[in-house]
Amino acid sequence: MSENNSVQRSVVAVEEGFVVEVQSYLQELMNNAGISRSELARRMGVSRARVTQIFSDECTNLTIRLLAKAAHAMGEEPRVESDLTRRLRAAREDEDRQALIHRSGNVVPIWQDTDSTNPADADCVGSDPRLDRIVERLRVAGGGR
Amino acid sequence: MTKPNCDPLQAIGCELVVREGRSQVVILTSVAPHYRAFDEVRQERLNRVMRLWCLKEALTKEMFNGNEGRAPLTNAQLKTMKTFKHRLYGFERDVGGLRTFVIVDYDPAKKRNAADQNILKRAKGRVDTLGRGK
Repeated sequence: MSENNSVQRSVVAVEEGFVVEVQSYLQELMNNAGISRSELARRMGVSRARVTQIFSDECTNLTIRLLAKAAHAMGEEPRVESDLTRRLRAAREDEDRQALIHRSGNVVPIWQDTDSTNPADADCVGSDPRLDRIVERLRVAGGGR
Repeated sequence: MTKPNCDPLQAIGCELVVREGRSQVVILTSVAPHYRAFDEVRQERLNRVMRLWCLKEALTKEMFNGNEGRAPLTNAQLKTMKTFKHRLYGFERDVGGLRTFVIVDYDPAKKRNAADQNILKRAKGRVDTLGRGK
């Protein structure tokens, strides 16, 4: 496969994958809200045919504005997320955490005692940022070590 | 003396298409070349549908039909992943400890909206064959 074909195939993968993701997202919202496509159309103030178009294979006329309108009709505010935005957000959260630890003399991250070469520790450490935050609060509340 | 086949996919004559977490989609080796002959758009659409199925995310009725009838002998439920009138027929079972969608047949219908009854019947026969462990 030539490089051009390879790039072209990736574009197709991203485009088609995104169509499926968006349709699945709206379906998830509908399932959660327990509403039909007719009800969604009514809430959006568009025809039933317009909603059918959104879910069709061709996925015609699904604009960003229409997507936002559909999500809003089900009480949601859609956000754009990708691997890059997730990584950047995680990095910022990590920076905030480090800054917090730096400012608080009585905060001691317990993971400093862990062994990153130990698979059991590696599974636990950093597995969930919420866990880290809870541990920090406990440390602060307990007056540190 | 031949060694017993340890690969659970090879043992049922299948190959892996998509795996996410504790779920996977596999396809009969005899059907795989027909799937790979689908054009890129259809393959990419179906690949993403498979990933979403693995992740147990919502699928629309245009992507997935969970009730195409039951196989007569094993009573297994035949299901379809589909896009642009192309269908992949399969059923769910445990393979090697993983929740698995086994694709047993395909229908590259180009001008037909409804499922081809002959292919449906053939797919159910294949489900029975696999379901009985043959």
